[in-house]
Order: sequence, then structure tokens, then C-alpha cells
Amino acid sequence: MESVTKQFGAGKQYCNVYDLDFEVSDGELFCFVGPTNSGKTTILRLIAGLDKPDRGQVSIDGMRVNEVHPSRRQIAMLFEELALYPNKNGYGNLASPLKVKKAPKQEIKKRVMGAAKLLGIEHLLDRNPETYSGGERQRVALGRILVSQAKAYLLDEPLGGLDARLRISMRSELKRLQRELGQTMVMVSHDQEEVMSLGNRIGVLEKGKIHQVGTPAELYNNPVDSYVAKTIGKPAINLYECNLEQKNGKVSVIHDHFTLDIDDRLQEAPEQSREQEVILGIRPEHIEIGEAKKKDDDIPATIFISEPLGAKTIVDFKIGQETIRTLTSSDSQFQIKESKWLRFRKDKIHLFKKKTGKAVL
Amino acid sequence: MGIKLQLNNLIKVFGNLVAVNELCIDILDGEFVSIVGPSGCGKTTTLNMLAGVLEPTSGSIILDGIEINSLPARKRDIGLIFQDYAIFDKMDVYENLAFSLRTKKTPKEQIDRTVRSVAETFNLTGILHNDPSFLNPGDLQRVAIARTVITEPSVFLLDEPLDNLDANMRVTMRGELKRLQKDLGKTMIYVTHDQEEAMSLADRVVVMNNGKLQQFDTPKEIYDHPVNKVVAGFIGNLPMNFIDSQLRDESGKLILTDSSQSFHLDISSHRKVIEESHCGETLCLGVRPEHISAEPSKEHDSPFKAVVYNLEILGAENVIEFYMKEKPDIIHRMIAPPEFVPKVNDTISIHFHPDKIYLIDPGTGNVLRQ
Repeated sequence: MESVTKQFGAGKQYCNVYDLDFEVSDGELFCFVGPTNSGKTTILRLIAGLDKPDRGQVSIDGMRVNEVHPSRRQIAMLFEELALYPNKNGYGNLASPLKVKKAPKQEIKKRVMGAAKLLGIEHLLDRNPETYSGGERQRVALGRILVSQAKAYLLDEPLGGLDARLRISMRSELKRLQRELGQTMVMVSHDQEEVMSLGNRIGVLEKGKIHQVGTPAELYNNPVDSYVAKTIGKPAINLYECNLEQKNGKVSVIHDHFTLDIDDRLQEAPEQSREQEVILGIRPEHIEIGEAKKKDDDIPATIFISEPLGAKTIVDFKIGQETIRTLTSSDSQFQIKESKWLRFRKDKIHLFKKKTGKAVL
Repeated sequence: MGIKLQLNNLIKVFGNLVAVNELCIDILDGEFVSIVGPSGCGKTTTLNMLAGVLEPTSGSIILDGIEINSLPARKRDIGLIFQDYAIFDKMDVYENLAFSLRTKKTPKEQIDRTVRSVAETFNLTGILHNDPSFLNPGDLQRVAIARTVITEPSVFLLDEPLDNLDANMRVTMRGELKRLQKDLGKTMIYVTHDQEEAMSLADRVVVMNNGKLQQFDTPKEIYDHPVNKVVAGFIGNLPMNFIDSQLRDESGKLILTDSSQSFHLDISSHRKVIEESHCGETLCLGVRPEHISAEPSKEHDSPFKAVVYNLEILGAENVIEFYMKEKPDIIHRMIAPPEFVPKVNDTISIHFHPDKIYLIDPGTGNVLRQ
């Protein structure tokens, strides 16, 4: 898409999008992530042709398709509601897109059986959707778009509504399927864990605008702004409003409750690092918990609560009213109200300008 | 700590389906217990019997020493906090908190004192006269709990109260809820399908499957020492890997391997428990993704050869999906540091830590314990 903008009238169901610029490569699994009402469904509808852009161009295989009817774009879309036909059995559902195109019976059978085998749903072919479990419905819906052998597949929250365990196994299946078929897929989800594990590249959306497009590693390590930093990673990054101060050639990040010396990091920062008001970002997994103060800028804090997750533990600390969330693999017991010393890994600190949210470090 | 709530041989049958099958658990005063399991495990039916919405087929529910099976829901000393919180949006926060006291015709001054005191405990003083429709999730949760606290129930029953929140808000609200419970010292029972939530909140976790209790223990015990394949496979962020294996006796050592000899693990230290189990020559080997390493270390056994199927970059760590040589149909997972980035179809050497493996009897599904 190039500079695509679409605005719906007030009270419409879908969200506006502004100045969308992105490319999906052949065979790529591209994901968009963002909260509800960030424009995810609108983007898919624009690709499918269900809505026309007000400005900008949508192209498929190098050709402009703004004026091309959805039925002629060779794009298949899986809607969030799945919309399986309740009065058709599995075979009927899978066959429906081909029946509409008036494909020959033999061809239909071949493609339906092929998709059914790939998805492991042969046993569902003679049953109706009301008898399916959540995971089975998802697979049949997926099968239905796969039979049409489109140029690209659009998936709108394909794993929503499934329970936690099923989501993980369906995620693997989806990835395997996409790899084996080599199909181009564009998927949208509100779940960052899902897009990080599935996407070759990810677009981060907020209120109809793209903040950043990048690989999972790029978004995690080099978020362009605090919104991307907050969106990617679980538990979310800790963000604190601070001031940058330079004194006697030393640069410090100053917060109400702590001060950090960041001279080493400033080598890599451009002139804009002379920003005064900044937001400091540090991920929970990049904070070390110690029993004693070792460095001058170690931070004293008390344990608010700890949550064991199995392999790791989330430990929330408080200093004043501020919460510092950490993620540790330590086996130690963490008691409420215990005092510890926290060290933020200097090489993993992010700094964002307070006014614009854009990254400085 | 005394026993607050007992479920004795609780059974619920619907036609041919035994939804809850001889459930026996003792919950201690002030304990936070979570009930978790896959869909259809019976946790919701159990919840409904506790709430008084369903009557047990047999068995008993004993609260504070008194059987409450036939007590209607409204007469039970159980405070319910369900997903929608059921906060009255036509009343402000103050009136929501005061509601139960007004119904009991408590004198006005006492209502005021109680409401203000509870509001302070829950940090709600500033929003007492706010419209609930505009409260953020954190405040909403506190109002729901505060309102229930005022009714002074003996036990709190929560049904997936965080399900509607986005991932980050859930983690924050979880921490607050847990701390709140510790400060209040009240008994709470929390039902969820999310194993991470169950583990992070509870003092002890009830794992159910097909209506039956699988294990009831602390999160650490359930994670470190699952009693069977169901618990082992359900608890833990990424599911445990299960590998079908064979036992061999080689020069006096007890060796675990598979049909294509892709791995060779010395488990002589487990000889006694294996012999006692009479499980024959086949065993199911369980190992968590986080306990598989690509780094050799002196405690580890000889490396296994694995072929990389997929690589997921999650930021803080990478997940590598792999298969054992000659078994490409079965995909396993391991967690690796972000610096480890093999290519798809690369062969890598991986190690299972001998202390972190689980030997499972393929017939009974039980984990063999030392």
C-alpha cells in the first residue's frame, strides 16, 4: 500500500486509517498488531477490496487494484466471526468457494480433500459446524479459504476465542501450514505474543497509523518510539518520566526516586540526546535483583508482590508510588515487603523524548 | 490455619456425563486457591455448585464446618465476583458499595462509616462519587472487590474476572489482586482456563481434567513435580515435550533411547523407581522446553542431534521448534537465548538436563517419582 488513507463516516463500524505505507513480500507471513479499533480490520478490507481508499494506492503483484472488484483480486479472507455455513457439513463448507466459481466436481473434490488432509479435518467433513469444537471450527474456516488457492490470504484474529492451550497449538499449525504452502499471508491480531511468534515482519498500529514495520527482533530491540516499546514484549516494558542532566561532563537520567549514570550509552546518541524531558524504558527481563548495593546507582526498592510462572517469576517492586516490574528466573523466595537492590542493565535502557515519544537511545 | 471450605466426594452428573467426579479438596482459611484445567474439565461445574447455582448429585460442600449443599445461593456466605463485575451503572461508586448495607436496612451513619473505611482500604476515596461507566479497569476491579468485602463473606469466589482485559492490564491487575488478597487475609477461590494466571495468583492450585482432580499443590510443586502427563502437559507456558522412548540395559547402565537411536540418555539413577513401576520397556520421556539446552555443560549427557524446523524470535528469548532425526512428524520445542539463531534445517546438538526430565509410564500416564 502506498499512502493509503480511508475515512469512514461517524458511527461506522470500521476505523479510519491514515497514510499507510507498507509492502508484503511473496511468501511472507506479515502481521499487524494493535489494540481494538486501531484499524486492523480496515486494512484487511482495503486489501480485499471490500472498501476503497480515499487516497493512495493498493497494488497486488505490482499492479494497481483500487478499482478491481474483490471477487477479481484472488485474495481470500478469513473473518473473525468465521461465518461457517451452519446448514452445510464440513465438505460443503470447504467446497463453497469453488462451487461459487463453478469449478468442476473432480477439481473441487481434489482441493477439498487436499485441504482437509493438510489440516487434519477429514473426520469433520460429514458433520455440521454445530458439532465442532472451537479448534475444529477454526480449522474448517481455514480450510475453506485455503481451497481457493488465492494469491494471498487475509486472517482477521484467526485465533481469537480459543482457550490458552489451544491457541498455542493452533499457532504452530498455522505457521507450519504457511511454511509448507509457501502462501503469502497477512494476519491481524491484538496479541503481541502471537504476532511475534508468527510474523516474518510486523506492523505496529495505533488509531489507524503505522508506528513501525520490522522483524520481531527489530521491534523488540530497536523500537522507534515508546508506543512500539510498550506494545511489544510481555510483561510490558517499564516506562518512567525522567530528566536528562549534564553536569561536569557526566550525563545522568534523573527520576524522582532514582538517578542513573548513562555516559557509556551517550556515545551512540546523536545531538538530540541533549533533550531535557525524556521517558526511560527498561524491560522487566533486563533488571537485575541484588541483595546488596554494589554500584552507586543501584536502586533500593521493596517487593510489592511476586507471581511464580513456572520457569520465571514476575516480581513487582515499589519505590514511592512507582512500580518497577521485573522478570527473573531466580529460584529465590520473594517475600512481600522485603527490600532489594535493583540494577537496570545499562546496555538495554531505552530513552524516548517525552513530547513526541520518539526514541533517542 | 484452620480449614475454611471442604469439598467431600463431590459428584455432579448430567445424564451420561460425569462432569465432576469425586472431588475432594480442603481449602485453608486465608488461602488463595485457583482451579484450572482444559475445557470440559469440570471447573465451571464445580464453581456453580459452590455458588449455589447447581446442586451436587452427591457429596458435600462444607463451609466453616456447616454443610451448605441445599442452601440457596443468596443465603450462602460466599461473595461472587464474576467477569462482568455486575456493578450497577445507574449508581455512583458510593451507592454501589452501600447497596448491600441499605438492603439490610443498616442505619445511615453506620453505612457511611463502613463505606468510607472500606473505600480507604481500597484506594477509592477519591472516586466515591464517580460514575462507574467511566472507571478504568483497576478501579473497577477494586470497586467490585470492595463491594463484596462489605458484605463480609466467608469466602470469595472469582470466575475469570480478568478475561476481558488486554494482556498488559491483566498482568498488572493480577499483581494487585494477589496483593489485595494477602492484605485482606480472606479465602479466595479463583477459576480460570489460563494456567499462567492460576500459577501466578494461587497459594495452591487445583488441576482438574475430565471431572477428576489431578493434583492439588503449590505452583512450585506442580511445576517441578507434576504427578501425571495431564498436569505435566498442561502447566508451564509452553507445553512439555513428550518423547516416546525405549529402555535398554547396556553394560550395567540403564539407557533411554528411541527407535532411531537419535538420543542416548543414561538414567541409571532412576533404576529403582523404574523397576518398581513394572512399565516394561517403553517409557514416555517428558522434558520442558526451558530445560533443553544447546549449550553443553558437565552435568549434561551426550548431545542429541536435532533438526531445526522453525525459529521464533520473541525478543527476550527464542523458541526453536525441532524434530529428532528420522522423526520429522513430531515437532518439539526448546527455549534458547536471543543470540542463538540457527537456520531452518540446520542440525543442532541439544542437551537434556538429567535432573529435569520426567519419566512417564505410558500405560497409566503417571510420572515415576524418585
